[in-house]
Amino acid sequence: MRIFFTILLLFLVQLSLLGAARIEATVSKNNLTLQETLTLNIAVVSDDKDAEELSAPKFPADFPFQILRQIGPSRSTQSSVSIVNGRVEQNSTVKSSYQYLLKPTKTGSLQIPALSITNGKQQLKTSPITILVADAKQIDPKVAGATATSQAQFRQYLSSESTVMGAPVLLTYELIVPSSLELRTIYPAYNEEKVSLNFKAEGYEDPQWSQQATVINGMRYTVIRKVIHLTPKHPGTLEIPGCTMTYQYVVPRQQSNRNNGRRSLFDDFFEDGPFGMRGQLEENTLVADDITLQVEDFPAEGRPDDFSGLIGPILATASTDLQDVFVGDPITLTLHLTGNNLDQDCTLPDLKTALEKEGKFRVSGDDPITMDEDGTLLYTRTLRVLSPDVTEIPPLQIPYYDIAKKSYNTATTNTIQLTVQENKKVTLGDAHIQGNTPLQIPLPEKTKTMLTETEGVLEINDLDDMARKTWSPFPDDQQRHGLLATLFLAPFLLWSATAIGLHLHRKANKLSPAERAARNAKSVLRNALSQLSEDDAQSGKRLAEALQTFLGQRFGIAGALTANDLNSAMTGKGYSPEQIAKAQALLEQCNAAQYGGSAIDLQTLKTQILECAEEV
Amino acid sequence: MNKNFFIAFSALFLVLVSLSANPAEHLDNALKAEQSALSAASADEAVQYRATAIQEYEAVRGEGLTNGALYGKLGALYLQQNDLGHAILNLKKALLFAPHDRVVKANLALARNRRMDHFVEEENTTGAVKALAFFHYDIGYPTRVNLALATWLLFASLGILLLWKRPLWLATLAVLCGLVSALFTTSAAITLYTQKHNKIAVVSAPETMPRKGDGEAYTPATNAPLHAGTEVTVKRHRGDWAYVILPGNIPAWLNTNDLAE
Repeated sequence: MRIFFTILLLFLVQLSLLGAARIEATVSKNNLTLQETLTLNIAVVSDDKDAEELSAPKFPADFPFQILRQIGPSRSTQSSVSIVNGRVEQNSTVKSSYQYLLKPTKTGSLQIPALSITNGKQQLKTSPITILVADAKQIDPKVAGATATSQAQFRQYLSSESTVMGAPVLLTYELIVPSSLELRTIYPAYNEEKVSLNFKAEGYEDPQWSQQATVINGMRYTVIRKVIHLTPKHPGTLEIPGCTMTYQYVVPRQQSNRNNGRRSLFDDFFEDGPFGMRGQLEENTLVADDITLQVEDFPAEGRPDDFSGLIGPILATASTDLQDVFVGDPITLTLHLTGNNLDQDCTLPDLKTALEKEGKFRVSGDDPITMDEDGTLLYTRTLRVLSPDVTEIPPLQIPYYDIAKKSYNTATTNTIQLTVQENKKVTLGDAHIQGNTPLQIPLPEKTKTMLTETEGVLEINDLDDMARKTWSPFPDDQQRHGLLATLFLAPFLLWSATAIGLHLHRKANKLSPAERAARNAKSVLRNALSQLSEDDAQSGKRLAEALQTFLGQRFGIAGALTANDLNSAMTGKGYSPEQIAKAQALLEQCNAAQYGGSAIDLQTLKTQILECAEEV
Repeated sequence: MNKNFFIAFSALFLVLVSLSANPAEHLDNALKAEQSALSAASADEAVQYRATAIQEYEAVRGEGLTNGALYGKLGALYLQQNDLGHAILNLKKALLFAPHDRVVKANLALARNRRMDHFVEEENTTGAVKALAFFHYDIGYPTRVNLALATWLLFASLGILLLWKRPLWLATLAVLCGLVSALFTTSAAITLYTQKHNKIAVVSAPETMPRKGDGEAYTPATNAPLHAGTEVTVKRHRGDWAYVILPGNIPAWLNTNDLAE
C-alpha cells in the first residue's frame, strides 16, 4: 500500500511538472565599460505547444541600463523523437524570448534585477544578474583579464561647441579599437534624419571611413573616422542625437582539445587557409552620447529688412530668353546664384514684389528653385511687361550674410535691356486679376516651343486628282453603273461561255471506251518512241516493249504478246489478213531486235510502227 | 427682229458653249476663279469668285466626274464661304473616297468646330468590328470596288483554267481570290446600300426646326432649333419633307429646302 501511494505521488509530481515553463536570463558579457553594450536574453522554454504569448518584462524605474533596442518576442519550436526499448516518444518544446541591447548608465557593480514575465496564467521570474561596469579609461590593458573589446571606444564630437548661423561645423564619428582586434565590418547607425532637422548635413552619403593607426599609452590602436559638415538651420541649442556603432571582429580559435587534441589536415586547410576564417566572428555594439551645439542667430545690427537667411558670399546674375518683345509677351527671367552655402531649400527674398512694385511688370509662375550641375541655383519666373515705356529689367538685390566678413552684404544682378513694342498680342496669361479673385486659368509657360495650328481652310489644288474618274457610292451621282455591272458580269460570262464551249466540244468528240483506250495507247507509244535514241544500247528492247504495250492495250491482251495472240485478236476485230501480217512482221522485227541483238535501222522501224499504229 | 435674233443667237451660243465645255475646261475655269478670289481686292469680290468656282466644280460633278478630291475641294470652298451645311456634306462625302485624307479630315474638324451646336459623337460601331472589317472602314470606296473587280477577274480567269486542269495550288488560289472578291464586293455593296437608304445630309439653313411630321403644322421634334452644319441621316422623302434621324438618334421631319443632300 505504501509503495502504491509513493508511485501515485511521483506520478502526480510528474503530471504537475508536465507543461510547466522554465525561464532563464542570460547576458552577453558580465564585465564591460561604460561605452560598451551588452545583450540581455530572456527565454522561456515550455513543453506546451499551445503556450500563450509571453508578456514583456517590466523593468524597474531605477534600472541602471539604457535600453537601446528590443527584439521580440520571438518564438521557436524544437521537436525530437527518441526510441527507447522500441517505444517511440516525441517531444517538442516551445522557446519564446525577448532580447534587449543595454547600455550601462553608470560604473560600478550594477544589477539586473529579477524580472517578471507572465506566460499565460503562469508567473515566471528570472534570477538577478550582476554586471561589472568600468570606465574605459580605468582599464589598464596590461592588467590580466582586460579584453580588446573593452578597450574599444566610439564617440561623436564637434569641431566647436558653438557657432553662428551659417557657419558650418565638423561632426566627427570616431571608432577606436585596439590594433590586436581583427575588425571585419562596421555598421554605424546615425540618426541622420534627426540631424537633418536642425542642420544641413553633407557627408552622410559617402560610405567611406578613414582609417589610421595611433599609439595611446604605449598601446597600438586603429582609429576609424568619418567627418560630416553641419550647417545649422536655426539658432539656439541644437542637439545631435547619439548613435550606435556595431562592429564585427574575429575571435581567434583556441587550440581546442577536440579529437583528443589532434587537428586534422582538413581543419587547418579549411579553417585557417584561404577558404576559411581564422576564428569565429563576433559582434559588439558601442554607443556615442548625445551632444549639443550652441548656435547664435544672425547679428541684428545692420540686418536688411528683406534678408532671407542666405549665407554668402554670393554672386548673382540674371538672364532672359527674350529681349525684343511686345507688351504682354511672356519673358522667362532666370536668376543665377552662385555660392558655397547655397542649397535648393534656401529661401530667396520676395523678388515678385520687388519687380511688381513699380507697376512695370507682372510676375507669374511658381517653379521651385533648382540647382544645375555646377552648383548654381536657378530661380525662374515668367515676366510680362505691362508698358511699352519699359526699357530694362532693373537689377535685383539679394541680401546675404557674409561669414568671412561677419557682416551683411547684397548681391546685385545685372541690368537687362528690353525693347518693348506697343502692338500687344493678347495671350491667355494677360487675363487680368479681377478684384481679389485670381482667374483660375493656367498660364501656358512653354508657348515659345509649342506649335499650334491656326484656324483656316486647308487646301490642296491637285487638278489631276480632281479630273480622275472613280467609282462613286452616291446614287445621285451620274454613275457608271452599267460599266460596273458589265465589268462584274464579263468574267462570269466569259467563264460560262468557255465552260459551255468546252462541254459542247467534248460532247461532239465523245469517243467509245475502246477508242479512248486506243488513243491513250497511241499517245503512250508516241511518247515511248520519241524518247528512243540510236545511241541507246537498249533501244531495241525499248522499241519492242513500246510496241507490245501498244498492241496489248489496243487489243486488250494482258501479259506477253505473241504473234498468235495478235492474229486471233486482230481477226476478231475484223482486220484484213494483210494488216495482220504486217503487224505480226513488225512485232517479229522488234523481237528480233530485242533478243537477236542484230543491228536495226531505228528510224525506219519507228516509222513503220507509227504507220501500223495509225492503221490499227 | 434683229434684237430677238441676237438674243436667240446668244442663248443658243451659251447653250452650245456650256454643252461643249468638258470637265477639263470647267476645272480650269474653277481654278482660275479660285486664283482670282485669292487676289481679290475685297472680301465680297473674293466671295463672288469662290461662288463661281463652286459652280464650275458642281458642273464638273454634274457631268459624272466624281472623286474624293473634287468633293474635298467643294467642301473647302463652301467652308470658305461659311456655308457649313454644304461644306460638311461635301467633306463627309470626300471621306468615303479617302477615309484617311488629312486635309479633308482637318477641314471637316474645322467645319464642325464652327457649328453653333456641338453634338456628342456617338460611335455606332464597336472597335472590334472596325478592327475585323478594317478593309471596309479604312479603304476608300473606289479602291474597294477596284480590288473587288480585280480579284473577281482573276477568280474567273483561274476558273477558266480549272476547266481543263485542276492542280491543288490553282484551286486554292482561285478560292482565295473568290473570297477576297466576295469580301470587297460585299463591303462596296454595303456602302452603296447605306448611301441609298441612309443618305448623308446636313442642315444648310442657318436655323430650322425639326417637326414631328411632314409639315410646319406638326409640333417641334426637339426642344431647340437646329443650326447649319447639323449632320442628319435621311431615311425617306415625302414631298418637300424628309424623314431624318437627328444626332442622338431622334427621328424627325425636316424641310428639304433646309437640307443639303
